[in-house]
Amino acid sequence: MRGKILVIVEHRAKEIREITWEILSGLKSLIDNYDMELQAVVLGHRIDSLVGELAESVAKLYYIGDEELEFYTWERYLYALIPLIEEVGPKLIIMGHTSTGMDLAPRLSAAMDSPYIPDCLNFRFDGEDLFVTRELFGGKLNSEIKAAKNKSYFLTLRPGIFTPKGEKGQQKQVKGIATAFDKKGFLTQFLGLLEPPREGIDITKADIIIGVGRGVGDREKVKVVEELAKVTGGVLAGTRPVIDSGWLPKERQVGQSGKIVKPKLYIACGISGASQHTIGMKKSEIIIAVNNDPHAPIFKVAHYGIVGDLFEILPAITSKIRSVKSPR
Amino acid sequence: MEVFVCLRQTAVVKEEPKIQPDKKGVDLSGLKRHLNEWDAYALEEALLLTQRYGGDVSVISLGPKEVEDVLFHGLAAGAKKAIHIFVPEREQIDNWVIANILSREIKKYPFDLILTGAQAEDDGCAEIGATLAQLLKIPHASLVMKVIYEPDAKSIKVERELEEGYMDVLRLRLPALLTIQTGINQPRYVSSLRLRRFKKAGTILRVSFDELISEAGDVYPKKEVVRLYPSRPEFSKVEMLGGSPEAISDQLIELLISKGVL
Amino acid sequence: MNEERYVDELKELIVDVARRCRNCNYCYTVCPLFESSRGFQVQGPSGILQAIRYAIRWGELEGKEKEVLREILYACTTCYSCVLKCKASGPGVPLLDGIEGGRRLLIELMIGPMPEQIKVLESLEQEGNPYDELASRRLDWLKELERERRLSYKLLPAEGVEVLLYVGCTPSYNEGVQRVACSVVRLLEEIGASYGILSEEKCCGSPAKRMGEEGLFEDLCNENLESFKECGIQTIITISPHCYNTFVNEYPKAINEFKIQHYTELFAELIERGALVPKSRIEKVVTYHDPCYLGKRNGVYDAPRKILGSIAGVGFVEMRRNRDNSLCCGGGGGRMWIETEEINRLSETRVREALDVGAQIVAVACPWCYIQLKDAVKTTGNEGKIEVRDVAELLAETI
Repeated sequence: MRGKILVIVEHRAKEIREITWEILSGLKSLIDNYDMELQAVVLGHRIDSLVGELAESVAKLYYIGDEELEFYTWERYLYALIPLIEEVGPKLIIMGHTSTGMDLAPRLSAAMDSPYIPDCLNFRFDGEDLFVTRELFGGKLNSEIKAAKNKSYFLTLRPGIFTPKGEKGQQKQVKGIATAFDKKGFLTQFLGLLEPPREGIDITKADIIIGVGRGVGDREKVKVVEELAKVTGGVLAGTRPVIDSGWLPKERQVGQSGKIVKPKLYIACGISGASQHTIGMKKSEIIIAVNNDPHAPIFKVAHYGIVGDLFEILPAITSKIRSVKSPR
Repeated sequence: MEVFVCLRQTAVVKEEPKIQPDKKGVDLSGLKRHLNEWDAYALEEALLLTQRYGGDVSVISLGPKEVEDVLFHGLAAGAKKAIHIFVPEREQIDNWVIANILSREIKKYPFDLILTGAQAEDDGCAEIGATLAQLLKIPHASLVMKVIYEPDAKSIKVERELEEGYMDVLRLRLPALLTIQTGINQPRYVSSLRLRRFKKAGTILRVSFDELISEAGDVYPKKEVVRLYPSRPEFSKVEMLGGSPEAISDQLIELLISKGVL
Repeated sequence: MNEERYVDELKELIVDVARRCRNCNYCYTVCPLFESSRGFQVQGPSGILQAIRYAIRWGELEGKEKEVLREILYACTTCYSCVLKCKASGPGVPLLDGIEGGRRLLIELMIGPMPEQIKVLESLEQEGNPYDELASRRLDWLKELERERRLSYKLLPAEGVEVLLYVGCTPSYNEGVQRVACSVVRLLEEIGASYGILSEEKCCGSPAKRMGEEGLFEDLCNENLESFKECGIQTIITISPHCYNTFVNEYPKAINEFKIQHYTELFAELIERGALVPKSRIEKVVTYHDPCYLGKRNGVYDAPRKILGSIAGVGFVEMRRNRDNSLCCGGGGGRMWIETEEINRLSETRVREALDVGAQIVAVACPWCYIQLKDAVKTTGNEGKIEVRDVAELLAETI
């Protein structure tokens, strides 16, 4: 199997995003089985330092620089990448399944008339055929998918399935590519990047986090979970639906569109374990999940699981910890 | 403004669904259906925009006869037109084909905006919106959390939700497509009585899938399911704690103390 | 289109009821919402009614005000005190008809219900219970009980069963209230009753009706009636007064072919006949909290008292506000699912009233009173000083 893999690099606020390092590390081990060359393309404006960092991680790095590319928009990336992809002819074009990946990959693959498979957990080649694994129904089922035969395929990979290893090689090839944008023809205008408000608590700094999911039921019942947080010295966090419903403020959201946390202990209460949330906490050192559904996908990422009624179990844990902490 | 909303009807899957004997599909019979959660937010946003700025909302859905329920829901919520593209089983077609078919029908109408949900509960692909925009050659923005219509400039300003609390702010020239993220608004509740009335008296324009195919030529799926299999915890290394709540607490506390957490 | 006529009819109903109000304000003296809130005019029966009446008259059913109106309408606990008071003082305005009519109107106009209640209605429609629990798990509590002892119930539909024990959603799914269901079952076993439990029981529909979702309520009525007819039963015993009230007063006439009793009525009868004899003592001072839906709405005051009176050792005391004067626990009218700002929490006030008369146990006969008062004992820091027990639990202890 010969061919090139082209990774589209993600960066924001002058930093390469973690997902790119994850993918580059992960692909290195995957492509040991295949005779493929790992390449990457980074688009931006005045990001020489990033180019330097990246160049050591791939066989060949393309760098497309233009003022218009300072911030990501689907349109500028699309028009910059199409000629490159046509010229390089990679077998696989890979991005993370992130706000950027799911924004760009469908359009880019459609423009290149290639199959696109989103949110993959892994992929493999069987001869010339590409197979991937992805989840369905929020993680309740897995599916093995075969892509329609084509000269190139687009995949987005789920964040968090690979761990960046930080290996560096020698400085490899770096090639600068020019753009030929028609600046007046753009239909999309980038107006600004809003930073998250730095108010309230920073849950990413907590050692112990107690996660509240929809299974807790309603805002009143969050108090039961809060008791556990108090007695363990942990902080409360929530899944997106919990934040949407206003049970906890936005800065407590853990997940793909919230914060990524890696505390010593994460106790997931009434959390089903959909990937949008688990992406945000699966790297915690110890994960304990409490849910009354034994098939909840959260048990796939947890180290310890408890199947039962939250409102029987949490109070019992809370009072036991209380008695242990203040022995009489 | 004329707004189209693409609706998907999904099964309400609370437990692990049954896999069919051929392992390529899921047995959804006996499960209740509802409007895909993200699409409910998209529908509400469309209704809010037209309520504020004037214009009409049209809803469109692809699938078997049952999807007319979500179309009637759309009409009952305030949409003026509903289009049903009939296919016997939507799950058998891939999203690339769906996006193509939708584009062929939608382009027959004048529109300023197309809204879709950011992703679907069943496959979580998040691909139809952006694909549809590419096919229609219009700009798009995904994971939208705020929409501001600029009628004089014939554009819209949107905020997109990125990771870690960051938001993008973009301006798109109309016509455009937006994929809508949850939490952008509070979808209105359509009562049983209201729905019943619209089911009796509402009109749905029914369109033939085959006609749309023959109009612009065949379109082929770009991926196929090889097999489905359960994603049970046995696949992972979780250690389950059992017993009474007191016993579980004891085990847990011992564990946490031994690991130096407590 | 029919829609306009339905909306017009609702508006007429509400305005009709509101017009009859004489603004005497007597209803405010017994309104639990008024007692526990800031005391604004719109936080009492007449005020709520006038709010929706003038909203209709002034066409204020659009715009930002509609969310304020919604909050006003949905804060009512539907306890019925105002209706009784208005009747007693003369005009007899059916205030709750106007308020619940207002909720139906808001739902029709897609303003209601309260956002937190939407999931409740969806859960009712999809799983037949308001708690977002799986329908398939509804009988888990019963299966659990069967592991401890043999039970003689029949799973309905089945032949030859006269009595249906209609469990209800809260006793089925709420861990605390399941103890009440278990107690009722133990008592039925004790008297050797031939009783059945539905294998696929669905919500009685009361939450839907209270929230103004008339269509969903109708659907649940029809499904339940069919279930009941299929079983060939003659009597329905309910655990919750809300189920009782809705069957007796709100279901289509077809339900009249069945005799409907709250479990307190059944057990009081059996005790009177000597068919059920409490054997052991409970040496406690006990007071009884009249549930609004059993007492005020249906006049069942004596049966639970007879039961408590038949238990030796019980020192029965009445709270200052009892019978038709009973203070609502705050859980009715759909309020279990919304957050209302309470200056003096109703359930906490009630716990204090119980302590005031020296009670060691507050006996209840309603799942929501059970939950509300139990919570209030904790939040007032009175754990250990007073207990909340259901009448069935107390009786079951003595046999």
